[in-house]
Amino acid sequence: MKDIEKIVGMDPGELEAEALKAAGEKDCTGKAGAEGLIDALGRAEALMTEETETVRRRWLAPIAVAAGLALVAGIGLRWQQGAPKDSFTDPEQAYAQVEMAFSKIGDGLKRGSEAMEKTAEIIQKPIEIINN
Amino acid sequence: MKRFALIIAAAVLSLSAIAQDGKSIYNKYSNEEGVSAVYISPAMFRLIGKIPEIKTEENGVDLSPIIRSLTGMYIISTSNPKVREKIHDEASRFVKSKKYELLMEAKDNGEAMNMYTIGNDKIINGFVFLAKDGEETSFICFDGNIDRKQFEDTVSSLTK
Repeated sequence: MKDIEKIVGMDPGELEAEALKAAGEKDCTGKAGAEGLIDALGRAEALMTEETETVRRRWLAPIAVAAGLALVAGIGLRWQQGAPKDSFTDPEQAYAQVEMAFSKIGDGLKRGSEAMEKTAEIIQKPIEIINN
Repeated sequence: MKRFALIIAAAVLSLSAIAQDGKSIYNKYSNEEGVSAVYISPAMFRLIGKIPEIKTEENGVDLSPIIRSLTGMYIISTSNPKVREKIHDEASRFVKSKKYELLMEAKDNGEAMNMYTIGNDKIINGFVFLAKDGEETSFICFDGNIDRKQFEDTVSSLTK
């Protein structure tokens, strides 16, 4: 029997010849011959499928290892970061900071509203001209 | 094929574990030169919530209902040109990856301000404020279970 590498390297013609040869080792005539040929071709196909599967597994293994390592690294990094330390121990100081943050948010909102009002005025002018 | 899909899923999960959030941005930049950073923990918010009356000094807006529903706050502001753009880019990536919804965007003469929220129609689970103001970049991020209507009413009162 041929080894897998040789069978994989064969073109379809060579494969058929090899299958015929293998069948000839038994009985190559009539119904038994045809069955032998089908059997030999089946075996060759099975070997090729097995080889393809082996090649796929060979590629899959390093990808799986890399993905696993990335997963561990991700979890590790996340765990290492931990919770930051509170910036204040006094709740009133912390509150003052929260108040400042909200005041900043309010300022931002105010600017946004002013920009919207400006836009509304710009839109309103042509409407007034059209209406008059 | 099933196994391959599992591997891809594991890789995506690991990448999302590394992905940015408020905490990771804070941890990354809080020690940089010229960066002022504040973190207020859930425990501190519980303490603040026990202060009987909390009103803003400027316009007397009562922040206590919102403060009581907050579980953590990260504030970063910097004028350091080396990190300003980085913070802005990372915060933008973070809101995009976590599918925050844009609440408001205002741009004027190179200045930009964006507000994002995550949650549903009734509750806000996360809020991000990102502003590029002249030479300063500010990033404010907080989490909690905040009543959306209450939050919007309070913030709009602050503008008056």
